[in-house]
Amino acid sequence: MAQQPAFQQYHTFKKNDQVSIRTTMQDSNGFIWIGTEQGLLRFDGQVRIPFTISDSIAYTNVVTALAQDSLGRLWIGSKSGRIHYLEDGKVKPFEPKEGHAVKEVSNIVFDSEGNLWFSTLNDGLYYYKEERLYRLDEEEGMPDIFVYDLWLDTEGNIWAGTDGGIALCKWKGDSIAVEVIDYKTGLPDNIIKQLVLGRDSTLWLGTEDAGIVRIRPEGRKITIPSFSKEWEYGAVTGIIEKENQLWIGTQRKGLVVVDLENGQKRNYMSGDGLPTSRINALSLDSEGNTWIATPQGLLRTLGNEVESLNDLGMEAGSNVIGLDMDTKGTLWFLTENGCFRRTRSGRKYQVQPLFTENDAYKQLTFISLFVDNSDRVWLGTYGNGLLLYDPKTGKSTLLQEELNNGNILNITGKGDRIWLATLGGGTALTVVEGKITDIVPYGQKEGLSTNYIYQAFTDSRGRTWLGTDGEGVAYIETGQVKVLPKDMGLSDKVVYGFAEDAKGQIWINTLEEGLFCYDGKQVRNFDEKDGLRDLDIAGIIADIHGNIVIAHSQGIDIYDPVHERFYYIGDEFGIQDKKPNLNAIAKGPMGNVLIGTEKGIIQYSDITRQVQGRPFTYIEGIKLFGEPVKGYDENPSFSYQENNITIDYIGFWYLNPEALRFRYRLEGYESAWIPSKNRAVTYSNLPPGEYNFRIQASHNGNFDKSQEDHFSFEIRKPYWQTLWFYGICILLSGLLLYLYIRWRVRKLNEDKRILEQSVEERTKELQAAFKDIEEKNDNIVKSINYAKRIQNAILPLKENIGAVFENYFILYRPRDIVSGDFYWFHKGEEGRYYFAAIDCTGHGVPGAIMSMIGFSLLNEIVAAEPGILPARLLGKLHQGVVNALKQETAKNGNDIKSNDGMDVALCRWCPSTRTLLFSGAKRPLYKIDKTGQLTEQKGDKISIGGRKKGKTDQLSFSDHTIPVETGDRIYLFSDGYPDQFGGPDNKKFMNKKLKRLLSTHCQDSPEQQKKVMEEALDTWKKGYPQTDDILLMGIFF
Amino acid sequence: MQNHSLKPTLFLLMGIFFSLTSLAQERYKIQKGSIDFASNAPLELIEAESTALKGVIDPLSYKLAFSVKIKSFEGFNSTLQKEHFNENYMESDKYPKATFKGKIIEQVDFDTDGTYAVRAKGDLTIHGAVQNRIIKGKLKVLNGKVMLETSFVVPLTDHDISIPKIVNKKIATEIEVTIKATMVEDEL
Repeated sequence: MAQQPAFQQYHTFKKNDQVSIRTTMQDSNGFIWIGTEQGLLRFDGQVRIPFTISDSIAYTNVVTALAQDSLGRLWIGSKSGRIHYLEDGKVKPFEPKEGHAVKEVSNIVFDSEGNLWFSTLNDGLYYYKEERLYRLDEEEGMPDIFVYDLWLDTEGNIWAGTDGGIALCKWKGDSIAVEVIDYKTGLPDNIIKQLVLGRDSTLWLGTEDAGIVRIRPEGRKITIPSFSKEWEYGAVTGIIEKENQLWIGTQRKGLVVVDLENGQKRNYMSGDGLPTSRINALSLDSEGNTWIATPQGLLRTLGNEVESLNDLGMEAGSNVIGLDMDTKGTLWFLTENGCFRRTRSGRKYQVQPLFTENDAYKQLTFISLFVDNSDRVWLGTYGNGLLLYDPKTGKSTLLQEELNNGNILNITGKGDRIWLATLGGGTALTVVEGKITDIVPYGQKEGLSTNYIYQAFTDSRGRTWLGTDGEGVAYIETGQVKVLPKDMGLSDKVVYGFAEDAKGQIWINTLEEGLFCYDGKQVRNFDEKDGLRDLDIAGIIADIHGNIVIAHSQGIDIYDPVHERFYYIGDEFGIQDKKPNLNAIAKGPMGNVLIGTEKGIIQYSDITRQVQGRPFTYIEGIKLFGEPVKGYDENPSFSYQENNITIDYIGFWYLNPEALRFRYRLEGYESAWIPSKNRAVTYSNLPPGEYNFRIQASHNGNFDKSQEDHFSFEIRKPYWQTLWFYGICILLSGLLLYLYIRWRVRKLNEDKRILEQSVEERTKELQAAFKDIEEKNDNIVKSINYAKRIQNAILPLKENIGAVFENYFILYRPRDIVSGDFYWFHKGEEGRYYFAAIDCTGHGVPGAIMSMIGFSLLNEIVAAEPGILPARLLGKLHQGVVNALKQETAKNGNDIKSNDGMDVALCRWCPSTRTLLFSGAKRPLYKIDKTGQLTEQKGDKISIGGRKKGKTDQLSFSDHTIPVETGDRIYLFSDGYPDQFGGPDNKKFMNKKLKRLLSTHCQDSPEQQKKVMEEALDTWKKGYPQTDDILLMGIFF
Repeated sequence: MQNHSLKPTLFLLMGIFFSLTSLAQERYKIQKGSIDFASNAPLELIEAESTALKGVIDPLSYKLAFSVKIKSFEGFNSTLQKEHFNENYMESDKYPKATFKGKIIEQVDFDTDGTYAVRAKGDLTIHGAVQNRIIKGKLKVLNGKVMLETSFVVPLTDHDISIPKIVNKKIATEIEVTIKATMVEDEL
């Protein structure tokens, strides 16, 4: 079985299909585009999306060239010569006015100005500039119109590989000048099929017959690399430079991988993992994978080789418990059936047992094996010590008694030392020219805590590390046993083995806790969360790059200490579940790592340094309510209802897409990372806010250094939740309020104004009325005042009264200017005088009018009957009033005039006889003598005037003689004085009080008494209005 | 897959052989042909035609050459327009002819009747200015005659023909040209 890298084969359209792949390309997003003879395919490691380039022209669906322009559009060249491009997910034809090429498009390139160039197989070289298609052929100096490949140099020139050499196309103004590089200028082969840029600005050329040629673009220096001299692999169809390797695809001889450092070539053809030896094209992706396009399908490989050596022969079996390789590549291994040797003869391998049946040593149970750098084989036995076999001499030497213990679990060696890990401690052997010169044991006596040693490993500093069974790690330095400090946490582990990485760190393999890494200062643990796939590790070893190769039953984990990451080899090689045996791990002379398992041997060669790759993720698109959103910009803003968002993302990890894990987080909504294996996440009913969606991908569960993509967006608040709205609402309500207030105020003002206006009007009216009234009042008052003068005119003159009575007083107070009360004095016949106090009904004007009537009647009666008696006078007066007021003819008793009349107190005095006659109509007479005694003479209870019940005529009043003596006083008065309201309780003055008052002042002079009476009246009356007309006459005799 | 390094040599030999046996095909020459052009501007359509088209195609080398005298165009919308066309725009006295010299890209079998979609690549010279063009056309081979049909657009800027702004709505910036010709074998 030949060595081979692991090639992963991919079906294109259907499982197990065999579609011819013509070309592949990785675009700037990470997708792998596959050009097949059945159309175009987009691949992301798991999902395939086909694109049909449909056209009525045959062969247009055979995709032969792919390129990406600066806008990200994919350009597709086909076998028919037609070109299409992919824009917004749609395939569109490229249709210049000048028509299409008619031969297969071999390559498409965009020059530094963005012009499209494409080469055809026998239809020349085309370029499209400023919307015009040009063709370069013999006319322009093309050496041939069969053009295979194009390359853009740093100066913007196009190098075309043709059947006639290289056509170097340079711009001369607006057109192209072609310079030819061919035989004449040093090319070993004119047919240049590949132009690929290598390191140090070297251009690699793949030719038809001469293999690989190197050319320096400036100076055109051509060299033929040594590995290409006597090239036997035929026409070159693809070149990739990867680190220090050159991968060459050939037309018929498969894949050639050249190590540029040592010139070594490895050739893989059909049967070496490739389905065919015909390679159509090669391309490289960002992870470092090589994609191989063949007529029978698409393959990908990283370049690591893993070989399963299953067939170890019947005798050996397959359970390999120990192994090592000598400097020549001969593999020595142990199974339960003994020690075997595998050698190579030609292309085949041979397995032979070390000891045959006859041999005494055949019976020994070998449990450990080591080949030193002199190719001597050291074998550890179970209980029988150490056997040294020298293949040169064929001699075996057994050491048993010399050793302190015959159970040798592990053998390592460095320089002239061989170390044995035994059940009796560690043993150091010094070997000189094949002879053991010294044996130094290290056990409990020397300071080890236990004698049970699994492995003794010597590092680059000369320390030998001892892994113990349960007592952790000890090391021997300059002959002394030392222990790592207890607090490093290794003191009680079961330690199986060690390895030293590129940084000089010591790796420690423990039973249950994975690996520990000692960097000289601290010990760090590596377990699953750090990326280790399995803690049940059979063995560890450093490869030639200083990476730690870790063998467990899931396969191989490789830790790169420089980049601090894990790589995995497992599934694609089919080595999982092989169950490696403890410490059955070794390194070969070529740097290959050998692992002994229950099912044979695995050989791993890391022929490529891993390109530092990590999974790449990016957000492909978004959907709203399941509908894809086209053409959104950087930070879109969605409306409040657009709150159901699906985010589609893709992860690229072609190495092992199954191992892809994602984690995402929507900042603004989720507070933690959420792990996922899906390719989309949907958020429904997102509340308004600003969000940032972050997505990371990892292939080992460790996201610390993951690449990340993100998408920020915003869901706007519904307008009714925005500050604007609130602000506007507030403003609006403020405005409304203000307006309302203003309106109210205005209305109020208006009302007020109206009111004021009406008030003004009213006032004016009132004022006018008032003025009117005032005027009228004035007039009335004037007229009343005039009337008063008239009334006063009828009142007896004082000299007339004074002529008869020396002392008298009259208290006369009309209530309203003119009075209803009046006093009468008449000089009668025969020296008789009449005087009376008369109280007419009412007061004011009606009273005054009555008084006029009374006055005139009195005078009339007395004139008609001089000397008339008072009673008779009163009777006549009554009659007179009745007649005057027509009271007899009044219809009902309620008529005003029917009740009008007067009350009279009348006296007739005859001075000669000193007789006083009195008659009263409802008025009395008081007489007070000089002692103050008061005598009252009541009048008749009939008033003058008014309808009387019963008799209407024959009213009789009575006369009363009042005896008077000197010093007596008589008082005639109306009811005005006693009826006056006042005093503290607002009562009438009453006759009683009047009587008393008059009595007590019986000695006063008339003026004094009048004054007293006035004062008493005023005091009594105080603030109250005058109740009635007041008349009080006092006549002193 | 053939070895392409032999290809040129073979071709050369064929060429020599065929040119020596001169009873092989002669070139085709235009027996009857017309070329017309149209200027389709927003305010005016100008058309003119010439039947004085001359041309030859060499069936061996696929080379072709065509020419026409500018002054032979008739049509136009007025004699004054024709005058302007010749004197001001085309300057026909200075540049009497318009020519195309190039070759057919496709391999046409002139012995077999059929219609061939071809592209001719060459230099189109008008008004003294040369522009390299690829022009699509159809060749119909029938009974020893070749019928040629092609339409293409000539941008005036390609050939230094400038239109004053004042008339730019009357003269199109790109002229549509159509050629129809029947070609027969020519005695050398």
